Amino acid sequence: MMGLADCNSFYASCEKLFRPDLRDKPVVVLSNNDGCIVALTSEAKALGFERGATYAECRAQLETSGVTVFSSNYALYQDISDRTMNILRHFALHVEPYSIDESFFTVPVKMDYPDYAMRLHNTLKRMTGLMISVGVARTKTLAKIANHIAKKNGGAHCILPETESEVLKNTPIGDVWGVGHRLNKTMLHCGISTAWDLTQRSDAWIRRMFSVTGLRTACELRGQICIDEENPVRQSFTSGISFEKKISTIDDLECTISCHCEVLSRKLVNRGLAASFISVQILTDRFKDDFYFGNSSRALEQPASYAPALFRSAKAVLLTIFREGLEYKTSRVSVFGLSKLACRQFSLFDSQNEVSRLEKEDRFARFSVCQPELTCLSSGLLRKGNLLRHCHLSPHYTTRWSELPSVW
Amino acid sequence: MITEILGSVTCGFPSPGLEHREEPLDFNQLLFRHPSSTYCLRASGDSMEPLIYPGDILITDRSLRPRDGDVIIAEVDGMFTAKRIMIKDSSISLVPENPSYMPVPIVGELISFGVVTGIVRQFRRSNG
Repeated sequence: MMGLADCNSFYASCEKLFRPDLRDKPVVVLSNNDGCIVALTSEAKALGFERGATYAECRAQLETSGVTVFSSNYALYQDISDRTMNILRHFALHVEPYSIDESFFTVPVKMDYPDYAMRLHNTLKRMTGLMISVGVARTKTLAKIANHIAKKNGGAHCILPETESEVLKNTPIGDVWGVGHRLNKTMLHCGISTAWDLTQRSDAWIRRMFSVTGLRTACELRGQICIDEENPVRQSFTSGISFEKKISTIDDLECTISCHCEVLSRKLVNRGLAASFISVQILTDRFKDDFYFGNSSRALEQPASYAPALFRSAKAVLLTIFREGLEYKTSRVSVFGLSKLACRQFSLFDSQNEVSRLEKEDRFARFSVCQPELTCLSSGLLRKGNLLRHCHLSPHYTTRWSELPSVW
Repeated sequence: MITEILGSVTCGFPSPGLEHREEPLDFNQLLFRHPSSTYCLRASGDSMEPLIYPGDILITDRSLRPRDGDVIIAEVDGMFTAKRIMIKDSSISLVPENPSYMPVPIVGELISFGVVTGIVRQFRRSNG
């Protein structure tokens, strides 16, 4: 049997872990740069706040309703996530982290599954302090549905094979893992409104209508394990930011681009990867009539992970898409064509100087990963806090000696 | 005939200790029995003196269930507090070490963050 452990409003729960004064109080967590609400507790939901609402719009309302607001503290969330996955590994096999707050796993042996799910839920709650829903069923897609049910009643749910058809008849097709907004529309159009309806169609028909991914979903719903990929290898990374104040000069845009390059460089170096291509996107307010979306990419001279090397190319791309006289709201940089840095091939005509320069850059990139204070001068403006906001950042309770929670 | 051999030769005896080398002492292993459920908290206030002094780091294990006589971290009035837990029949109280403070009886549910398994106290603090 497969299981899925999923933490309820994970970011907000992490923030509450070391704030006993916030027990049963409404809490929201904002996205990078305090842009919009990305997580909220049930108390905040009850007050009518929603995920995705922009902070600027609901700021006053949050204040008057006494909601505690946090900027995202990813260092804290990642540490709590790692701890949770490690605890899960004591009680389950093949733990596969699917995202920061959910993990698939295999139930160890043949046992009383509903009892196992309930005990796992209780143990995880005691050892992590978080509400973690546990769903158990024959496949990952069914475990997702089980988890959905667990969230609504009691925190643990098991779909036994004999109860599958009953559950599927009560599951709207749009709630099934892998059925997005568009696919849901098409399915409804074809007369498939529940998960059960899909399982009753022939394989050939499903494959013709919804391709092999649709067929895989149908098989999973029927109890055959089809989705077995471990985390797929990353093909790209993106760093993006929405600005507090709109930006119209190329100098300011360059600062944000430089900052993205640093973020991406750290991601690449941490994984021992180098990028071959870089793309830059700049956007104005998409709700305005004169919405402009500048987007272009180019190949790097050499696969690289070194921030200044990424920035050199990104800057050149920016020049080609920048238009004078516009007010930009968002900038993004993506790197793709990722390969292992160790496998980099030098071209036949690279001089020895060039080779040793690249090696120096690699070494410097690796060094700078451990030095968060080390930054490119080109991104200086952002560091001064002119653009990047995280006004409500909580302490790094679990990763810095100077920021431990206090006990009286 | 003279054969020329190029290369390096290590002189001296091989260390007889090499095969018996053990890992150096690891404080993580000593202090963190369950690393994933253990947290460090910083003490302030004098209610637990002379056991705990302000500035001490309390190593707190969430996975342990509080037993009579344990020092635990409890949530009281929206704050974390370190106290010794005394369980008599069905009544629970949180007892400070410092005699100038009164024990706190627990009415209703005790909210425990974890059991304190050790403290770290530095005489010369170089970090934090």
